[in-house]
Amino acid sequence: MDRTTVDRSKPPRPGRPKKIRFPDYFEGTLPNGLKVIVYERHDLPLAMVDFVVRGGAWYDGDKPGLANITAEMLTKGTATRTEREIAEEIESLGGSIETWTTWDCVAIGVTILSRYFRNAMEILADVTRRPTFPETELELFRERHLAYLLQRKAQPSALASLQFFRTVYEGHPYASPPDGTEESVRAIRTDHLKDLAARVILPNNSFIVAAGDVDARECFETCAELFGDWRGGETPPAADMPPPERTGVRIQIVDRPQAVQTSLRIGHVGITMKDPDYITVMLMNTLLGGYFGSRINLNLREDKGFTYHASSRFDKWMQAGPFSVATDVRNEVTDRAVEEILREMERIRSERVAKRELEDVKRYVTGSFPRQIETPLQIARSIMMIELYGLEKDFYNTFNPRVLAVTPAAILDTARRTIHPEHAVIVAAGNASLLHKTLGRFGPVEVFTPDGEPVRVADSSKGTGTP
Amino acid sequence: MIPFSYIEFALFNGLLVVLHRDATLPLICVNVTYGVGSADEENGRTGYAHLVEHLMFEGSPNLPHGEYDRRCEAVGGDNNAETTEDKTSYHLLVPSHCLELALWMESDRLCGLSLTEESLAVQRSVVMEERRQCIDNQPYGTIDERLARLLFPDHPYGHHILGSMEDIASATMESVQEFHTAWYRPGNAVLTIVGDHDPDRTADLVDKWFGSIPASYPKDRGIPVSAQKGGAREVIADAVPLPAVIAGFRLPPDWDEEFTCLEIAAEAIGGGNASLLSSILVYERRVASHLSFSCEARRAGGWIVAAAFAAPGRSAEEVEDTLREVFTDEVGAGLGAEQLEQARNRLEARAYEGMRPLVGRAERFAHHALFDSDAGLALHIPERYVRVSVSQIEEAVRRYLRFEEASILHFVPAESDGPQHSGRSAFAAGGGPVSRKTIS
Repeated sequence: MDRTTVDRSKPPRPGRPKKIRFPDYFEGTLPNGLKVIVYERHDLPLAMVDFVVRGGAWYDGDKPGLANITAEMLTKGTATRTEREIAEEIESLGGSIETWTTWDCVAIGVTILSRYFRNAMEILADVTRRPTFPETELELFRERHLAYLLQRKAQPSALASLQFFRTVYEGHPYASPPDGTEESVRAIRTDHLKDLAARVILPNNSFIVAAGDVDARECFETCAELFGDWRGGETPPAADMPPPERTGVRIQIVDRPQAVQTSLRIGHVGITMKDPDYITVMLMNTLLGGYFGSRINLNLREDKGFTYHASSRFDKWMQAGPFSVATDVRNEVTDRAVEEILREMERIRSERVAKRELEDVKRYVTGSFPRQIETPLQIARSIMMIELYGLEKDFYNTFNPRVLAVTPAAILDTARRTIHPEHAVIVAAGNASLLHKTLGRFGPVEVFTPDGEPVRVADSSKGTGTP
Repeated sequence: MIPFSYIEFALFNGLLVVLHRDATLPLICVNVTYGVGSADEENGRTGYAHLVEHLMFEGSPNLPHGEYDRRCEAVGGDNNAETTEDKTSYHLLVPSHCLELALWMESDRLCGLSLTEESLAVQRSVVMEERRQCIDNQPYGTIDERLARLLFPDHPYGHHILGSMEDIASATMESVQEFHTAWYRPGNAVLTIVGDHDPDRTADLVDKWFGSIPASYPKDRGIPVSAQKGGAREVIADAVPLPAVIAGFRLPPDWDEEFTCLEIAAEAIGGGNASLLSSILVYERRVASHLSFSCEARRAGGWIVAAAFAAPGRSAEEVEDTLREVFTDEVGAGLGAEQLEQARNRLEARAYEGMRPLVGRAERFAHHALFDSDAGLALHIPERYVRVSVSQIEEAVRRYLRFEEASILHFVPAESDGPQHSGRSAFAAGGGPVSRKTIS
């Protein structure tokens, strides 16, 4: 081949795409109802396992943060191990243990060198079956957690997000953060933790997903040995309260006088995990703000240079989560950024998308599939979604054909149903004295403290004062 | 040893090439790493390595503005880039049937940048917003920048990768083109391809797209190995909710065996929930509610950063006193053999985890090919931690982790609401690469 004459003006043609399927995995259920799922991959000596309980922040009741603290406290003492012993045992084996809470689940995850997998399973069985919720550990955790909540209030993106949920979900459980508020966290007692744990942490209300350098049969037998004599109980009722109606445009500022940038959240109630148009909504959102080449990112970042990052998303839970656009923009262009975001929201629900743009986004989404299932962790978390939300077993294998079938008309219909600039809640965490005037052109402006307390604005030309 | 095979060779023009096959999925990662970073920036041109990283996506001779991202995403691919003090690396992760497309795109932007004044202006703004988002508008946001100044007053590692607002704002077409021409040369780059491919055929494709670029090498980088120095202090009154104390220690270069010793010691001191610092500061004494700890490897000398965020009601002085006590009494008295063994286990697991995703694997191969002329070192990372002895570790700790030589930064809550600076988040400190875009 003559190297000096390679014609760079012509892009090489891609070859033929290979067929790809979501990998097979093992599933078995113990007589007590605990389901065990194993995905084997033996190329590296690593393993991970998640214990997932169908009992998330939805079950907090009048104590926001309860499920989260209950989950955290599982690893803070058992009948046979202290908090320090649990941390030391796992970490000395090259592993880590973490818990996390969503609206629909609490989970305890362990990653470990696979030669110590059995040890990790023993610890996992101990923390899920025999937690003791020691008073002293709760006090220690509470102190750290209150410090975390204090730190959170200083972060612009967290402030914008907290206020956004407070307003969009007023009167609904989703209005409170799953990690709680200062008031609720102060009020939680060990009895509350024990009650919630007894109600939701049951073998027939949980499942295990293991992945990596693990033998499925062996793992199932280990689970039978460690969890088999655990008796099930009555499972808690599923989340059943729909979110509030949308109520027109709201413009809210969370005052951060020292801000040199505004953190924006714009959106409203969106869809549930079980929405029949899930695929179309996902594709429509990708086009709108879900990837680098999306309208919102190209407009705000690549065309205007307003921001480092701008995106939109639908959070999906048992009940309808929000549709939201998130970006951080410099003070001076905040109103123009809001205008552009509202314009993009309006455009997608009023103009039919061009065929080429839709083809691009379809190729992006379908071509992304192998990237979504590259690592055992990604595969385990994908299986977790199937299990937690009762998606069809072949959800991931039918995903691409369903994406390819979406039409421009379906995108338009779906956008009209799910995108509502006329009901946009616009939250700006930033300098209220600057923003009060510029955002006023979108409607009446409300100003709040970082705690969500309304601030009376006496004279907007002099700015606002926080207490 | 991690049981992966690879081949490594050089083209006549100086480009190093590393090929590794893993056909688990029809995916391929193409990484191009250049031997240039923020340490190569001249006075008045801070932030250029990272700005040029952004500009690499804005157009090259045969890829007009926007085409790089569009073509990448139109096949379902993902891309990102990151800049450190030492290097700038780019990766594409695409379905494997698009390998040649990726080689065409990467080779084109090695040949040159084709920019408009408008796209330069937009990217200057994007980078300034990145700086505001990561540094200026975050509580504790200036930790990394201030600590770098304290730790490296005499050295090119002393300024932040994102650069100063003034230098970014004044970057001209001529100056960024000059930077690209100086450093983006085949003799200063490593091309690494990992994933589902046939290495023989790939070698031909590499020759086709990269072999035609004329040979050229950069000037000598001349980044001096940083001499150990320390003891600098700074107190910042800022809009932060709680005091924080940040202690920074300078380390030897990452190719030095002493560095491995200190990596193990660092893991025992501050890695994880059961570490010495966490046990004493957070659980036993309760002076801190949160710790952020990192150990960064660099060619001319790395660093350890321990950031302790005070528990409500505790002062920066109390936090510093406890930190000093841990380093003087516990670390100074010698870390136990058992603690070090546990740290080795964790580092071993992390070495495997780092090699798990194709993107991480390519990055490791490229790093060792570029700096050590041996990509295969990436496969020997787990053993590195077994090779050094407890006495070697103790000796390294005595030399490098003396608290009186640490650089110390205090953040204390300010009362005023005047202009202030502020960290990435309340929960991270310690430096690290700066990426082109948010990782989703």
